[in-house]
Amino acid sequence: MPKKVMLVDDMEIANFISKKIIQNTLGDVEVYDFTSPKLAYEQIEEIHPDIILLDLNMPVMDGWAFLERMQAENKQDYKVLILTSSTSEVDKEKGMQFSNVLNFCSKPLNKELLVSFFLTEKLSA
Amino acid sequence: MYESLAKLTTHLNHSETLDEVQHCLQRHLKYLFDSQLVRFGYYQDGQYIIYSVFKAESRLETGSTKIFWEHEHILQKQEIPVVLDNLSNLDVRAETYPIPLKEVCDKIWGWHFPFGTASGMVVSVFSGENKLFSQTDIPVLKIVSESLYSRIFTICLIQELDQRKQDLLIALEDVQEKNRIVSDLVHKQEEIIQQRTHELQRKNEKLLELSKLNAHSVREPLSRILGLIQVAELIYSNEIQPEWLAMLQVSSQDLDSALQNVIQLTDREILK
Repeated sequence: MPKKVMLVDDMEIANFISKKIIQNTLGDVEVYDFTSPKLAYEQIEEIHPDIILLDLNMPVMDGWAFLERMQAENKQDYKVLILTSSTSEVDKEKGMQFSNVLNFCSKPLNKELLVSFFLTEKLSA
Repeated sequence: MYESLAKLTTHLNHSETLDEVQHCLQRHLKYLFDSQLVRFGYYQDGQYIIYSVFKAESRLETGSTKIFWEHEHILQKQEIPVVLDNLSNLDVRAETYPIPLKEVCDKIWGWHFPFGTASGMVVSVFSGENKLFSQTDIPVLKIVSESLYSRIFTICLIQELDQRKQDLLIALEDVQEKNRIVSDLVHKQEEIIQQRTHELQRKNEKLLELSKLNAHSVREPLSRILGLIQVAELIYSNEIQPEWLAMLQVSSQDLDSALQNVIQLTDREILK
């Protein structure tokens, strides 16, 4: 079964870049990209992604609201990798407090981080 | 007679003002010896006080050397006792007195008792008709003069001390008032400094907040540019190359406008 990755970023270009990096790194992968966090949230159950790459700074529903809603609605089985343009340590600390957040990554997406995630997932599976 | 002298000196020693001294002389002097008029002229460092004592009344004058009569000036200079038989040259102010001195008197007995260099007592006794002063009265007059001198001296000294005390109190009040003004100024200055410090702190915080916000807004398009460069090698198909270039252009423009925004906002905050 191909791996599924969900991209949540209001900037389409950011999603394009992440998509290219993922496809190039992982090969056989299905990428679902969303510029609307609300729409993405509604499709989590349906898509059932192996990982969600989540931006923090977005209009209407930001990354924090996304994470809080996941926590409130018991969707913490879905793992999240925060992918943001922020390099702030404060943001990183805050993000790591959510139990389903695996890591915090400053854009652009770090290939090694992605590979290591799927490698450990494979081993544990 | 000695009982009267004792009464006078006791009363004198209890007098606390120049008026009380006048009252004492008026009351007791007539029991000690006979005379038409006695003038006691006290002087001390330019300050002159004269008591004129008749039988029925008395006068107190204070002022400068001008209040001395002509014969008293002479006595003050010569420092030797004299008896004047000729009253024709008597000071014109004698005419304001209740007794016609030139008519009723035939002698003036005069003394000068100096105390120190700039102080002393000039005494003149006017004698005549039924009120005759005599040689035997001199010791009593000397005792009276000395007692009177020391009393006036003491009163003047106390008055001067009181005056100095008043002056000091006024000066003290002045100093206290100035202290209040100075401490008020210091207080106000402190308030201003505190206010300014507060303003600066607020401004600093705002600038810090702004710089943080700006860093975020700048890093977002920059991260896209970095990402696009990273995936550049993957875009080997000519079909999406124009698309990639367009994305690079948009991201670069976004970075530019973010930077211009930073400059504008910072300018506005500094100028505030």
